[in-house]
Amino acid sequence: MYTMQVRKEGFFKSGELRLLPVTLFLFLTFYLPVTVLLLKGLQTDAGWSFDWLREMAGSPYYRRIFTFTLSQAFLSTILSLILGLPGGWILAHLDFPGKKIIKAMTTIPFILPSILVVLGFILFWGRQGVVNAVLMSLTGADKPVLDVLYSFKAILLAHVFYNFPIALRLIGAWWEGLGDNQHQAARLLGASERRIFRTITLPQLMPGIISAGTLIFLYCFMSFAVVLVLGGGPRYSTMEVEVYRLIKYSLDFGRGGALALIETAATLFLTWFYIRRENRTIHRESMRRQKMHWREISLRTKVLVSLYFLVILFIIFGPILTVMIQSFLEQTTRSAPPVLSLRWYREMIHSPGSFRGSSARLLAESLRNSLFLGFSTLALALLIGSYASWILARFPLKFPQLTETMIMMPMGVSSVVLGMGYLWLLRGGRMGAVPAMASIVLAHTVIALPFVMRALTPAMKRIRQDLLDASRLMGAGGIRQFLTVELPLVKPGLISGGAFALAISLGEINATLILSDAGVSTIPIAIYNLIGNYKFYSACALGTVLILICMAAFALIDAFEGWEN
Amino acid sequence: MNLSIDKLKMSLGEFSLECSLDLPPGRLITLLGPSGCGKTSLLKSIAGLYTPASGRIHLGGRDITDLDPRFRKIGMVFQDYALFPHMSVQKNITYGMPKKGEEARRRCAELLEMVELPGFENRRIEELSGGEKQRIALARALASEPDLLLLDEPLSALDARLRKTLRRQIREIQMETGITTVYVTHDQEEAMAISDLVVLMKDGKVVQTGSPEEIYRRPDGAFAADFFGTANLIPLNEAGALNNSVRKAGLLTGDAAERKLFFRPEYCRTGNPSGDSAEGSEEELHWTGRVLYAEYGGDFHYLELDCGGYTVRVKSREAGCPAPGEEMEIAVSLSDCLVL
Repeated sequence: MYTMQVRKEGFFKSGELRLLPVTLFLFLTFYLPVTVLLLKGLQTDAGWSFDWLREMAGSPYYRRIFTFTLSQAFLSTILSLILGLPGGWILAHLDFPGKKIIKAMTTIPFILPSILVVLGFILFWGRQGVVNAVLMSLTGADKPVLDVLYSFKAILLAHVFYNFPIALRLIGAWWEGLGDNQHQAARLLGASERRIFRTITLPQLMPGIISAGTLIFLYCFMSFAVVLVLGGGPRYSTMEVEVYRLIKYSLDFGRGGALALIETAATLFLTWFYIRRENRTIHRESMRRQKMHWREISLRTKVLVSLYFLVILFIIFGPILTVMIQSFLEQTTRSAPPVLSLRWYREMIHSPGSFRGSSARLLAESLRNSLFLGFSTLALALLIGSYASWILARFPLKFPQLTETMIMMPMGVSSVVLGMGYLWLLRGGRMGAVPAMASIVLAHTVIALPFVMRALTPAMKRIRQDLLDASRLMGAGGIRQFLTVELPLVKPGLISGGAFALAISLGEINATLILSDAGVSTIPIAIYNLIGNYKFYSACALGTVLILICMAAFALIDAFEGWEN
Repeated sequence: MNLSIDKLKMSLGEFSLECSLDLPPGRLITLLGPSGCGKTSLLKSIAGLYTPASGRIHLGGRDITDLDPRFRKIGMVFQDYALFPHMSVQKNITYGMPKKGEEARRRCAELLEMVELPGFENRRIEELSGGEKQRIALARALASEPDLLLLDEPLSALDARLRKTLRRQIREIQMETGITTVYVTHDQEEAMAISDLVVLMKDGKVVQTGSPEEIYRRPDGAFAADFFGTANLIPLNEAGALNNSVRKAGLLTGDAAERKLFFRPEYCRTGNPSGDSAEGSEEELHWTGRVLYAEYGGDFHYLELDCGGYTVRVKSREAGCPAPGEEMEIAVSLSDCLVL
């Protein structure tokens, strides 16, 4: 009866109207700039036309970029799934000392800003890197043994490093949710292990694998910094990087817009596909699974499991530890071996002016800027996110699917495209008066908002109606109910959403790089510039600060919710 | 087929299970006990899903202890049914059948007929109600004509009325097919209603094995008496005057400490027809008590009486239900009593 009454009240009391502030915000900060940029791709001096699109479809150069973008994303996805699958099995089936810590460690790559991965890869896998140094001293060779960087291999390696945790945790969660009863039932019905895997386990795991695969494919498709730096030039360029080159360097908004249009069509389709699948599987029944204890496991399994985690931890911590260790080194003269030093950290915390040299100024300023941006994004994204998720959960919507998709849409548009849209509006739209910092905060908020919403909305929807009825019967309504009942109940969601926003803002480089023309430097941008000037030690110091903040943020998320939800 | 369990031992963390059983063929045997007593662990050991630390399990004379579950010819209904959610009812039922194709489909139709769900072949699992799922799980377990049927609390997720209907159906199918069945439950009434033999368990040990009537009438100890129905268990060292009557009747020899007088509430008669003294006669015990609590039950009233220092539970068939505070007299024949 309650819902009947609400429905009768019609459009003017509907959730859509209450969402108007959020819609307006997204229109100005997301839909408008992106649409304007994409429309540039359909405009020539002569007016509307498909000339740019036709040119791209016909050009072998762009066709190679399309093929490369797709094939690198596809290969990266397959490799990430293959590396993640055994880990998923282990998490779902075994219990062993230190499992929680190892599980948390496998999430570390996922949280690392892409520029840090790039830095770590150069120092660890590069020609002068740690791996090569060790191999050279082992084999006695005088030339680097491994030549991985600045190639297709480097892109794949970095993407797998980045994305296998998604595969591992999502598949692990699915596997665990299958429970062991079905497996046992199939065994009693006479099925062999192989038949059980083929007919019972795999078909039910498939939605999880497809979800994880879609997400990984999407991320690899839009990957920017990895391809830009590690790909090593136009030979391995993806659509994302090409959009950036076309607009930032050639100022060719026509071709750039057209390419962005093609890219965005693809990413939006992937996002739509992903969200649709998620919605369908959200009410999946989760079953109990009894885990095998370490002592009951056969020796062969023990060895294989240990080996698996050794490889994983080596891949994860090799680059990270290299960055952290090098941050404490300083090369005093060109030929001398590096010595221990805290110089880079001292430069960071001192006020500008107390150190001479541009590097010191850069370190301190980028740290301050990044923290300012991070916390502004955190506050803004949480404010908008908690209001929007509250409306979505409490008020009847005429078009619930459409509305949620509208809010989640930024997930499916690359941040390079978003940044370019901003750039066009600021330059061509005579909005030059908007300070660069403000535009970056808005861009970061738009990018972080889907993640905040994903952390908050399910928590908000999980609050049972009778709880709200009870609080209303006890006299708390409206704002008091929101503050005393609903907000405390979604606290875990708020904390993990906030941590996501902070980590995303601190690590974001794509849109930031485009908008920071005015000389605003953030930690990732400073690292990018320092890499360009071969100043690896100070880049490492900034990188270490970034790693520590991101790890703290994700320790929070892990403690409160676990991000596979 | 005859199932025998010989000195089975296993431990899971804190809990340990130890038992020997010899179960007759063609009967429905219940493993009954409070939660955590080891009945499900025992069942899963029989199925081969848990590996016991020591002991042997024989089914129809064959040692199956080290046999892979898939070769044991055992059908099982799981507590949450464990139906495969991505397959149709028919696919579920025919999954374990050795023959495929037309023959399997015919057998599936027969089974669905048997569980009274004809025509359900193409339903999806998520469309089924709890009771329907339970019956499909039963049909699947019976599909490949196993030597032994195991049921792990098959009705615990259903409501009380449906439980009664379905337990009867399970019992009828079991009698019809003559399959040896081991049924795990924590519900004493369910066990009593459908079992040929009840194995009462507690803390990983078998407390008593017997027909429902045997356990009900002659329980081995206070736990069996109390768990298998409502019981009066009056500590004899506090009962004073009762002691002599019980001794005279030859029910109690030796020390009264820790011993309890046991009788079922429905053996009590209300009123004092013989008019004897409070200590009772040679054949009967008498009390005058004040009603503490009364429950009207339609066919029976359930009463609790304060009989000076201890409470006596009574089930009475008298027409009027007394109110709390009323005084009343009750008597129980010594031949209906046991000392445990």
